[in-house]
Amino acid sequence: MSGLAWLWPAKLRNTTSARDTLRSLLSLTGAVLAALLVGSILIALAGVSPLKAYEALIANSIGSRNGWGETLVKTVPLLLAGLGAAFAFRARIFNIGIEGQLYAGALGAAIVGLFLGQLPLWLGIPLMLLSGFVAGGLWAGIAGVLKVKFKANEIIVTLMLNYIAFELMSYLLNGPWRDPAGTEAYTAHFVDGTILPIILSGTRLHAGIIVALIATAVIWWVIRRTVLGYQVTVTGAGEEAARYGGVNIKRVLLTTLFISGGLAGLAGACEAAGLQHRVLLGISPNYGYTAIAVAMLGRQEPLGVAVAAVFFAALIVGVSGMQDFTGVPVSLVFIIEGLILIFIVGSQARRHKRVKAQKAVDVDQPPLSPAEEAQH
Amino acid sequence: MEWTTILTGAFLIQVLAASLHLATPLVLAALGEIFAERAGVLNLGIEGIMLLSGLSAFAIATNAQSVWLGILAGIATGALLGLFFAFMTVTRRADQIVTGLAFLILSSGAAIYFYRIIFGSRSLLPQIEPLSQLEIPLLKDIPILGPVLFNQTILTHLMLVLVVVCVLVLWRTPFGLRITAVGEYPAAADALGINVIAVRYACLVIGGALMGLAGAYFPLAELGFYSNSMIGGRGFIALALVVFGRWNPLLALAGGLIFGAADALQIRLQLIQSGIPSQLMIALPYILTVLVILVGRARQSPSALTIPYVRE
Amino acid sequence: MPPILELVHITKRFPGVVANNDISLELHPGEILALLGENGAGKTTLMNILYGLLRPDEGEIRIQGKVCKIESPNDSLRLGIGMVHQHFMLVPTLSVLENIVLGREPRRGPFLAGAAALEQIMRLADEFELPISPHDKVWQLSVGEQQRVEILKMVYRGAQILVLDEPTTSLTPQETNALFNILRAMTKRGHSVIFISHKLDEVRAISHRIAVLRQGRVAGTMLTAEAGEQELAYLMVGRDVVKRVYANTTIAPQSDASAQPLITVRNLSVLGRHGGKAIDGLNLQLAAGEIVGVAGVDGNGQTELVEALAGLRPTANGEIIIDGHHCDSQADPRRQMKLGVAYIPAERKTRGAIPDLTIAANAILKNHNDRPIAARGIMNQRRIREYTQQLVADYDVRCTSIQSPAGVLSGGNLQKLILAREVSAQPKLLIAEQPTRGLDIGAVEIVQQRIMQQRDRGTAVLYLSTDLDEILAISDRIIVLYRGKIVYECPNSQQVSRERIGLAMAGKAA
Repeated sequence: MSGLAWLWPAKLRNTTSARDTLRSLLSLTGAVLAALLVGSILIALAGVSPLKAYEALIANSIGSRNGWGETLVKTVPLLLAGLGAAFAFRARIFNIGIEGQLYAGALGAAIVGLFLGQLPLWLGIPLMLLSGFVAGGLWAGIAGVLKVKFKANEIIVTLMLNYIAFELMSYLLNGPWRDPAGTEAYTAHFVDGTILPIILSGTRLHAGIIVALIATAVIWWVIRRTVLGYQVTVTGAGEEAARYGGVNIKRVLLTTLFISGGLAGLAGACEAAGLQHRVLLGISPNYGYTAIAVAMLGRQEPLGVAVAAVFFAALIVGVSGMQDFTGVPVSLVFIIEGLILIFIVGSQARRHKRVKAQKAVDVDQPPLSPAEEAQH
Repeated sequence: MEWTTILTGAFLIQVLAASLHLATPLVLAALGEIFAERAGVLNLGIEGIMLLSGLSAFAIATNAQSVWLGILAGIATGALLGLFFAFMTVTRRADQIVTGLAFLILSSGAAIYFYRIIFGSRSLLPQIEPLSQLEIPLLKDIPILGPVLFNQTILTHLMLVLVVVCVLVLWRTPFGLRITAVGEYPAAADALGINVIAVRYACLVIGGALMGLAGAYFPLAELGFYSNSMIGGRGFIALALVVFGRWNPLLALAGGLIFGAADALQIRLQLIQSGIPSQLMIALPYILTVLVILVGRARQSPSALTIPYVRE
Repeated sequence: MPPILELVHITKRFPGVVANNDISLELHPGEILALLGENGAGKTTLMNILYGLLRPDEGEIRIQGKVCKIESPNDSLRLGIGMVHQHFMLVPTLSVLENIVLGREPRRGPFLAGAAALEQIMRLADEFELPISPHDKVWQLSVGEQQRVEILKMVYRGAQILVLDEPTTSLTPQETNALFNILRAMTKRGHSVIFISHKLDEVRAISHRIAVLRQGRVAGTMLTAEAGEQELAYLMVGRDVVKRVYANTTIAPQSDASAQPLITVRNLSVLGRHGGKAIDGLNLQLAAGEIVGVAGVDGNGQTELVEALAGLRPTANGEIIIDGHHCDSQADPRRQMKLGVAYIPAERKTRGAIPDLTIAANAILKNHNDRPIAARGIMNQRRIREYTQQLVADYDVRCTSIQSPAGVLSGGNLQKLILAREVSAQPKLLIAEQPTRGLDIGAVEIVQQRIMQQRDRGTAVLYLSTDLDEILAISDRIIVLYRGKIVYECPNSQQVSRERIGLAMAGKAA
């Protein structure tokens, strides 16, 4: 990586950055492999040959044009939501409410998709995306305001907001926004001008992937090149020092949560306008929680998040296919996600210990002898 | 039902009894979290521990045809998961928040997965006769108090006893003193030969056992069947109760009763034609949790909370 | 009498450093042995070996003639060695009594035997003349009281050997005397004491025998009665001039009392962490080009005064006027920065710098949102690099690269970086809070010289330290803070009475 990448190393370290990047990649790969290994034991427990299951997994996800199409379709919400989680984590704000913000974003998009009448594509899509972003951002902003005003713990608040958002959505889809012609709880079809077009014929891959890639580039730029990015990073790495340095912590917290929720909202908007063309209760099979794993595996770096999002998307698509073939329950995905997190967080801790040991030496170093001192 | 039925004494007694009933798992889980946090470890895995304990309790109970064996299995599962959480956060010194989130995701997947493996995909929902209310003769006939206090499952009485036991342990025993020291200033405790690691392990295992008991309560004392959404954020509500209750079991009990009452009221309000959307009713406990968090003071949390202990 | 404790040929190596090099010492019953040495001389390592945190690579420890292995603090305690750390190992939220019995609680059945414990502790307190109030919470106690609790805690555990690490650092001279009396009383009862310090005067006043450590070796051992100050000083630092570090070497202050004050603090009140007034109606003026030293025992409002001046804490009452600008009562660090306030915090690694981020990121902490570092919200990487390289070069911050994390810098180099950053904006007021704490002798010298340079170019400097000697050495004027008020104020000259300042620090007006 070029540019300001050197300005903010993720962790205290002494080695050259190339070697360290390699080691970090290796340890992440190790975590993934270890999780897949434990996963294979669980598959065997279900009475299926792990080898055959993983074969089916790969064949279904990246083994065909359609598989790739589906993987990229799932990449859209995971990448956007993962960026949202990563952005908040960088400031050490634990936004666990990505799921609820995603619902809010889908509902925000629905306002444009349902109630503004016919719109031309060039206006409809940006407006729909903007509305989704703002809705997600505002929903996360509730937690931000409560944190800033009352020091309310954002973990609990954002989690509770997930449940509340679901009930809000359920109310709207069962009540005022319900498709009169529908048989279940979902809205009417979005107007054509707000639908994200298919970009790979023969698949379901829609323009949401472009939105997600642009968002990745923008977030990369914000983190690396802007004052806001610096302030977010500084606040996350040392809040007290940031305050001392004149950073307006409250503003950073609010802005960070708004952007984080906004990205989650974009994920919901793209799912609604690109894939379902409406809002329905099952719009997110827990993408918001998978996003946490995406952000962690991607080390809160936009490019890493992109790679992690594709990986988890392939996993979800593959395991779904695996279920059809072998009967292994699709919830295996969450087990593997959780295990990856456990292995990552376990191996990071060990590195932390090594650094501590080095510091201890540093403290005990004797001062320079007078002769040496004179030379300096 | 009509609005007016709310105002009758019978209804109030019903709500009070239901409050205590619904508060039971919340308070049990909160007690578990209090142990963990007072020793300096934030156990964010609480929701996942409750879910998996609930599953194992239900599986054992249906297989052995014994609710009691099921409850023991729930406690044991909780304790084991607490042990694993301790290994991750105390020995490996992994970030407590991320480990907790990993537990959440892992257990939500594992619960569905193992349920499918154990019970297959039957069309008939596996069920069990839930723990019945213990009607204590004479006492249950005391007006108001009788039906509220003495017409509960024995787990509710156990919960009330455990609250008192926890208060005694935390404030009247050497172990409690050591827990406080470890949670406030582990280096000082270590300097006096207190094994910080062991105290934290003990608290996480005890806490896990209590969470496991709370998890077992849902299928075995409340529902009679297992559902993946049965915990439904109640682990996190318990977490909020700990903050609200300032790490004190008695205050957590008080908070738990408020939640129980809100829950009991919303269930009953759904039955009458109140005109309030049912979704708002279901969301009520979650909204209440957010409000309760605003009252709590994070500043009074144990000083070493979330900080792994390393000898300098 | 045979020695109660023997250290025989102790060697401890760290990668690249020999922290303890063939150290042999013995301690006799009833003796006070002083370990004298500068920071980094190996005192801490030796103490950690005795304490069971570190294991020696070579050599052995004998207690009453028997070879012992000390693998943990618990072992150390069991062998009768009681440590009194510089930072007290007391749990602030527990009571005095609870802290003393912690880990060795008298029981009645499964419960704490409160009454029995109380009786036993009060008896011990009487016997050793260590007055305590058993039911107070530790956070309510003064430093001296906390130290008594620490000592009693060790006595309760049956410690025969008491090891005190820099025990007088934040005591008033009177409290120091009281401590010395306690220690003497203890030796009369057969206890032995190891007194670790870098202060010559105190070591000479209290000890029977002195062992000087330098660069991990025993530079010399002698009876206190036979040790000359010059000789000790030479052994300690390996050169003749000792007082140089603490000498205000530059020309006399250019300002005089009649000069227009640059900073005026009028009737200032600031609330503390627990809500009460930590600064209470304080008046203070600072002129350009003077160093005002703030003496006082820790916790008498120093933190709150500094934070109010730096804009990190709102003021409750009164005014702060900086070069004619009235600051409003709200906390706003950025406003204070713009007014020309620079601040070197005592907590280098949590407030002054962010160890996980690069040196460059730390260098721009204060001006990251100002031209030329940033314009319209976008940062200029080239400027960041140039600016950081300039600071590092000007202040001789030794690092392999400005891309290294600040956490790998040694304490002295990190402090130089912070100092460079703070004075680069040419401040009107420089607040230096414990700027030399934990630094080695070379770094102390550099930091103090740089601060005096700032004074000489016309900056008003507020210099806070709990070490009275340091205040006396560097200040042009001294104020003493007690319970949020200035209780004593005097120009620094040869006539200043240490006693008088000490009394003021203890809140005793003349």
